Amino acid sequence: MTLVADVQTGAGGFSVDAAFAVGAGETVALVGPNGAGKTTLLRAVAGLSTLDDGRVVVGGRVVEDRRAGIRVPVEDRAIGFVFQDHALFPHLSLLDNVAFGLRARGVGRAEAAARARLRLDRVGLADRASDRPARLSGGEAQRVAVARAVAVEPTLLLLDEPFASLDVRARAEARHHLRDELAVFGGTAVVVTHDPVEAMTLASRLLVLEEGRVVQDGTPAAISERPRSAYVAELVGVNLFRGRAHGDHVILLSGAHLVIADAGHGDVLAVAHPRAVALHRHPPEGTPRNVWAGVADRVEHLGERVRVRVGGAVPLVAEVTAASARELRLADGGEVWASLKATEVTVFPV
Amino acid sequence: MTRRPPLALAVPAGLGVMFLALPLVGLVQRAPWAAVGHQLASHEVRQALRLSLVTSLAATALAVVLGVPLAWVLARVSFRGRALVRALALLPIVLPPVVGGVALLLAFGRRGLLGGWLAALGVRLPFTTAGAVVAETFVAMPFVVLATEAGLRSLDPRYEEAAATLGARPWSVFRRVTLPLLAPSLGAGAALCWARALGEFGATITFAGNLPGRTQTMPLAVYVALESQPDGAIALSLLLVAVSVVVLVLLRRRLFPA
Repeated sequence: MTLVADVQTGAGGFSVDAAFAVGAGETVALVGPNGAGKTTLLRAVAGLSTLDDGRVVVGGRVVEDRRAGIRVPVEDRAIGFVFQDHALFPHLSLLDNVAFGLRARGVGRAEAAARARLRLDRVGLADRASDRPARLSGGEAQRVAVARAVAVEPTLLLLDEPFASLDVRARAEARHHLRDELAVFGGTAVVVTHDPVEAMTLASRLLVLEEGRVVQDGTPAAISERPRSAYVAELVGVNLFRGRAHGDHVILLSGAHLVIADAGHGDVLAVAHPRAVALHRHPPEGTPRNVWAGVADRVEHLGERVRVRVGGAVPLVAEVTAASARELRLADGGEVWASLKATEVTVFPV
Repeated sequence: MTRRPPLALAVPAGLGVMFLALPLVGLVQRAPWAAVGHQLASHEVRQALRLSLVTSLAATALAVVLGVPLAWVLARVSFRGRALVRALALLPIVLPPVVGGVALLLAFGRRGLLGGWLAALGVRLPFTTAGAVVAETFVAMPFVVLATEAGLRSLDPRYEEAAATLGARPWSVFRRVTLPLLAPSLGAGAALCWARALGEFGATITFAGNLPGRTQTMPLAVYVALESQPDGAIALSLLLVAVSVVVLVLLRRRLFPA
């Protein structure tokens, strides 16, 4: 385990009490609604705030243990931190920003500059090395912030909502870059986000935080199997398909075809909300071009709506009204046809 | 928002402007323009001018060296009695300078609290140039503390946090991140401090005396000259006004944002 954390910290009426561990080389997404305490937890692990109780172990070294009276200062923890708005030093060039950590750790000026230049080159900004951060776009600033954090090769990398300050267009590209960076970094990372697509494209495991407590911890598949709260259900309840886009359709990992409205190419993640999935007892006619046969195998009531899992070649979650669930006698299970309009599918390149 | 002021405000405001402007007008109008150059070139004046520059710059340097760390502690460390320390740091702004001079004598004078120690070290402050520097620092340092602390408080703490996560020790964070980002506030504080030190009169004359060439700075020279050679006093005054105006113009963006 690269990170073992048991964090109790609080201010005012708000408290965080969370225990979790992250294995070597693993990327975990820390997800949760606004105000769940994600940033507070991340800051406590980094040592930017103090624990009320608990301990933090990074790479086998105890960096904080309240009861044993141990507190290693931030600068000695070997934890990289990428801030929400990047916090690039405005008075330094990009090169000096990336070289900062190396210089602080005693690397000579020339060598630090050379290594920083390599990092900038990797994120495609070598030709901007002498620019000031103010001249960067949000996506570029984010790449520099990640390059700066990984330049010192930390044992653990923490990223606080790395895409929060980017617009929707820049996000897809930034996500792509960050995935590559994390793969090259090869180290252990925790990414805070409240976007399910981000969480699932970046991380192999989700840690769900609500009101300062870990409510669920596991792979996206395991969590969507049994969501333990309305928030989790909403978060992981979306239908996610991994596959490769070929113009107007995606070939899913299972071999099935998914017709999409947006043209695309390469590896993608396709997302469809359960409300967009319609269920039928007979093969439907008309416009929907995505129709799959399956079996209604779990029916959950969420107030006026009913969530149905459809097993089959393309497993899906559908959300229908209580009235139509009665009409279709979904509680009885049995064979159903699920349909999904191409226009209801959103495709994200990964 | 632009609006027409009611008469009850416009009249006193206009009187206020006149009250502030008239003395300057008097100074400019009475100035022996033809002889200003000659007056400023006299030995006494050049001596006072040089002494003023040396002491006020030394006082500013001393105020920065002591005041910036003090501002950092006030802004970043919470401790019991912080409010008291802050009040102490700002006290010289409201304290009558003459009282400051008397207090300095009682602290650093021959019979003062540290007088014995200083004498043992061979240091004599009262009635020396070093004493004039001490008096000016005492009176002007609050401007450095005030501006620097305000600058520190408005600084985004994430820059310093980012530096720490990158492995920089606190002193290195201060030197390489805090100080450069603080430069505009610190510059403004130092400029105000220097202007105040340059004009210092009460504490200097009380603590350091009025010895030409050693402690007689420009304001003291103006005061003395007013009796014997009023034209020289006016010429010196004009010079001090010019310096003040230059400082104000340089700092207008910082002092009166938008």
